[in-house]
Amino acid sequence: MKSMMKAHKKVLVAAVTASGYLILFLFFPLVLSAQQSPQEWLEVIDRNLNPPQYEAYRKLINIEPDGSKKEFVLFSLKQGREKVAALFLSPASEKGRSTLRVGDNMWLYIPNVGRAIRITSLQSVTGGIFNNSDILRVDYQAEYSAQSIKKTNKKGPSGDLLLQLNLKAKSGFVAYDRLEMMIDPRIKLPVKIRAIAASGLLIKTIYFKKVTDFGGGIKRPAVVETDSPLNKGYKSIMIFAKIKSRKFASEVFTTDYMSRIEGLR
Amino acid sequence: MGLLLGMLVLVFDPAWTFAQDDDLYSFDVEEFTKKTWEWKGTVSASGTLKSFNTDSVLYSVKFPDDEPVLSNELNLELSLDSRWDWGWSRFFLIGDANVQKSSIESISPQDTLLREGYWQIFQFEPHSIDIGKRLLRWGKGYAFNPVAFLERAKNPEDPEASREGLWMVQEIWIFEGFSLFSNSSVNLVYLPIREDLNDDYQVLPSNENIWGLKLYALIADSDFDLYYIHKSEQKVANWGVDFATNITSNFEVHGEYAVNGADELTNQILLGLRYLTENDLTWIIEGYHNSAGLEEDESKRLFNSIQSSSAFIAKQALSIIQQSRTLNQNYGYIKASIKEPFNWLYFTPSVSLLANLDDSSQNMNLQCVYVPDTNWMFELSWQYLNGDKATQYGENPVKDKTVLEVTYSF
Repeated sequence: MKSMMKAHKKVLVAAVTASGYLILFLFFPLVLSAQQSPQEWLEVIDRNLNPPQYEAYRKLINIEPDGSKKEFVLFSLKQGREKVAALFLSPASEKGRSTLRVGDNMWLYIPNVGRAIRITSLQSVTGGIFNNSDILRVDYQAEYSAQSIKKTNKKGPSGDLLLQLNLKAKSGFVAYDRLEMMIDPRIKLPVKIRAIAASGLLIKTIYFKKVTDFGGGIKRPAVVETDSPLNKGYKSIMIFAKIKSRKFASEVFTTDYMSRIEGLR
Repeated sequence: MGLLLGMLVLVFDPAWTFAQDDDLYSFDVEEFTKKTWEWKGTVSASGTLKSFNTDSVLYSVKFPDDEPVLSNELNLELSLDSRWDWGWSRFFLIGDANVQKSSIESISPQDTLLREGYWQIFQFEPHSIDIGKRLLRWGKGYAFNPVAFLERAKNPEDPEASREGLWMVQEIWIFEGFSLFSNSSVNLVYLPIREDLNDDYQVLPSNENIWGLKLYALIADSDFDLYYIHKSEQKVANWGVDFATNITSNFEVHGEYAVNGADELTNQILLGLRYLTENDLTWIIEGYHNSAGLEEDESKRLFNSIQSSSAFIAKQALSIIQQSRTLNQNYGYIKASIKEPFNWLYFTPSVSLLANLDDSSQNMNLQCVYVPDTNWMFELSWQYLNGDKATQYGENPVKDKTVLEVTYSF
């Protein structure tokens, strides 16, 4: 009798354990999503898009409605959440220019002008759809607060249903009042961002494409594309290459250093 | 029909579409590997048509023999910017070569000019030292820079024109800011004046040692600079401050204040703003005051005296007027430029107005810039000067000027 009881108990324990594993297996992705708050999702996205400190090469292409293109090549550096610098390597007319961003502050250094001039986030040093805040992108969490997250019925590249993370600008200095970020929950990267003005007007849509393994644990979209209903027929593309973690001295992200960024290549 | 089918197959063939995308997304980064010696250059050709103000008192001083009504000028300029980088130091050479042909013989062409040529040692970062001919460009203003103590005066009629540097030694120390400052730096400058060194810079004794100090800090999202200049032979000190900050994501304000401590203390003030509207119209507005400038009555007397004085004194007065850039005390500058209006691709028109607020004379400039390709630029500008008798722009020998310039960068 005792041995029967023991056997029943064993079967019961096994059944409970198995059903526990089954429940965990079936609902694990949901449990994981539910565990993460909107702010935690934003931190994950920032980390997956940009290592804390890195250097990279970028090509910016502005495509006009008539199909003609203008290309720019930049050497970029980033440190912490809100320090970014970029040096123009091409075309010849722009070579030697550099831009710097520290939080909400942005400067442009033109060799002929010879000093750093304050610029604003809504201007664009390259023209096209990307403005300065897109080109000198700091972590999203430096500019935006994550307000809510919801599941959508659209599938991402991994086949999972996309999540929509809603972000709100922390201050009036920020280029866009709200962002709707569509996230693929499996690869934990954005697929699309809709940038919306305070009036509710859609300013632009940013698409993240070609997830690439750059080595050193950096796996992120190699192509960022944008278009805007305000500039129909125009398109801007940013292509990333040679992204690698690198630590910089603090003086690199200062206006006096802007003319010397070339020395870091 | 076959051709149409072929085209349809091409358009809807996913392999072809992806290949097109791959081509668009291709990026050969090795092409941009850093080299020890790198250089870039521009070639520009321009044609200028000037119409002279024959009623101006300065006209007869400038052209005592012949009396041209118009002049045509052709200008060809080659600019080269070269850098050598050895990892611990760099050497920079920036210069122009210029050929000019004018319908007026009295205008002589300048052949070559070394704008900057200096050696930069950065082995001991965050310290760096520049030795050689260097253009400092201090200040935050666009058309005026009261704190630009150690450089040749900027021309508010053409604020973006290239200028020539001065021979100096500069030490820059960038350091981690105190808790209040995000970042900070110290610049120390030594600028010697000798018989054959910087001798064409300002009216100074042939032997002078000028020491400059600039302190920079980013405080609460605003740039602040403090300047101190000491001329050791004359025992004169100048000082100044400037600031620049963004009020919103499309609105910047800046200002400068300078005190020149000669026998009589004089000061200069600049306040300005940049504003970008939703339709890509950029406004630059600046107001400038210089207490050392002439009052309206004084400048009127100066112009009237030229008519009655000898040719020698009149030429001296002309030289003072032309070199001083600003003659009176109060000026206003306004510039509006719009990017690609009416969807005219690559086209940026702008209009600027420089006004002498004391004598109410104006200097207007209309400009159209067309950049069809990243390395080609076409620029058409028309400058018109207007004012009453005995006013700065009303007495300018040039009445209006049209310039067409083509620039190629390589």
